[in-house]
Amino acid sequence: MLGRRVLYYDSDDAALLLAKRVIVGTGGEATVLSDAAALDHVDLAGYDIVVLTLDEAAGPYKRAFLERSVALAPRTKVVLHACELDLECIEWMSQWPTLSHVMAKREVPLDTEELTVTIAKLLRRDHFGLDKYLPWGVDTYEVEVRDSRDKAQYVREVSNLASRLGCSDRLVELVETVVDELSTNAIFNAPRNADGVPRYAHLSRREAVALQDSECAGLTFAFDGRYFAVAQRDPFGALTRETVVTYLERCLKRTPDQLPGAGGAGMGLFRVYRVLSKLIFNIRPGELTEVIGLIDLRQSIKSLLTQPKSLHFFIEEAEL
Amino acid sequence: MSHAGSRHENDGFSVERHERSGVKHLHLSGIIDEFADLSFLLHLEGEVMVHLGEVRRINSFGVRLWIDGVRAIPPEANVVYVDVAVSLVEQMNMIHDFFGRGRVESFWAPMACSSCGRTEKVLFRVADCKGSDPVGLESQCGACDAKMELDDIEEQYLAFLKDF
Repeated sequence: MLGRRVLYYDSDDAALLLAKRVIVGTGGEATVLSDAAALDHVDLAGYDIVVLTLDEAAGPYKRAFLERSVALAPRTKVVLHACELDLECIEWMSQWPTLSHVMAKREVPLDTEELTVTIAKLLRRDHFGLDKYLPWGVDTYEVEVRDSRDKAQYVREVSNLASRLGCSDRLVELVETVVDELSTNAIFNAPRNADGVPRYAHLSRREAVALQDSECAGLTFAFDGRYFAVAQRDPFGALTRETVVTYLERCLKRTPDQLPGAGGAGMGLFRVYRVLSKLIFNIRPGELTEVIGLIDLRQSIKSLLTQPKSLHFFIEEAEL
Repeated sequence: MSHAGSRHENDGFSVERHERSGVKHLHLSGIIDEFADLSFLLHLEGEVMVHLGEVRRINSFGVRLWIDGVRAIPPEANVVYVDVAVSLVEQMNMIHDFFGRGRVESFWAPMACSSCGRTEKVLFRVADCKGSDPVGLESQCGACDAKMELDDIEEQYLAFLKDF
């Protein structure tokens, strides 16, 4: 059972005040820290969640702090609050399996909505649902993903909403790419038999595959005035954090020969990732996977490409 | 024309062919995905101009098919790619040999108006972009005449230029 002790570091007092309010507001016990040098002496095991803002002051201390957190407090959830999700963060995620959350510092001093959702999900161990990222009143649309022959229809359902919202052709095309890749994954890659062996992954993607009732995935999408949100949930929980981090790491390194599958799985993920503002994976291993992508429609494509991104893995198994 | 399953015909991929002045012109349009029939690439010969401006998008399995197809183009074919769509430029920048031995002559770029925010695609010739770094793609807004700039990260979007 996760406790409620949350440590938040930021050298900016304004951010600390907001963070403290958010943590208390979500039912946590807040400790805030503005002295980066004190990071060396924090009793990490004394906290259930630690949020580390990667500001300039934290620079000399961040690596040692993360190494200590892995060694001394592997059950403490570490959330990085970063100005960009750069290769270094992905490499850390690759290196340290306990590091599963990077929250983008898009707003000054911080995005209280994302902090609220992140802290609340961790404290309550209630991870699933696109609704957590949307305000009340937003209409959500749902499509059942069942048959590979209907993939174009699934794509159209979502892109129609994007078109109605007045998104540019390029953004609509990117939304279509998101749904295309997610649907293909849900139909061919996610389904497992009782022994956990992939059922359809070996098939050509040109094969017609009709999922059984128990295998069907769900596609949910919505717009809240700021974010175009897409989520896909499958009843298998087969996706792993390692797979995603490995793909992203290879693509961010932009080493052509190392691009996964010479343009296969992973490329789609990366292309989608480039324009997303937030990418969230909720995983109950062996049971349920939910991938959530949020695109900030207030931004130009260029801004979307350059803005810091949030990446979260909420994995239920890790909290047992 | 290639169709498969129950896909809506608007989502199909098609290739139109014609010949002019001894050059074969292939106009590709639609979505390059797992259903796209790219077998025509195996039979190219002579001077060929492949028009890619109407390719709406490409998915990860379409990328795989495309790369396999391009690698299988007979060496005696001299292929020039023109009007390369934005989605293909992105792939070209991620995959070193996306167009194999072929040459890219022109490409579409997403432009955004710095004044009114309008976005539109503009066609540029590779030859006109060579020789300056940064390239600084510019165009004129069709709505307010203000300057439009690339709505992407130049060093990433134009990374392919160093290969041509």
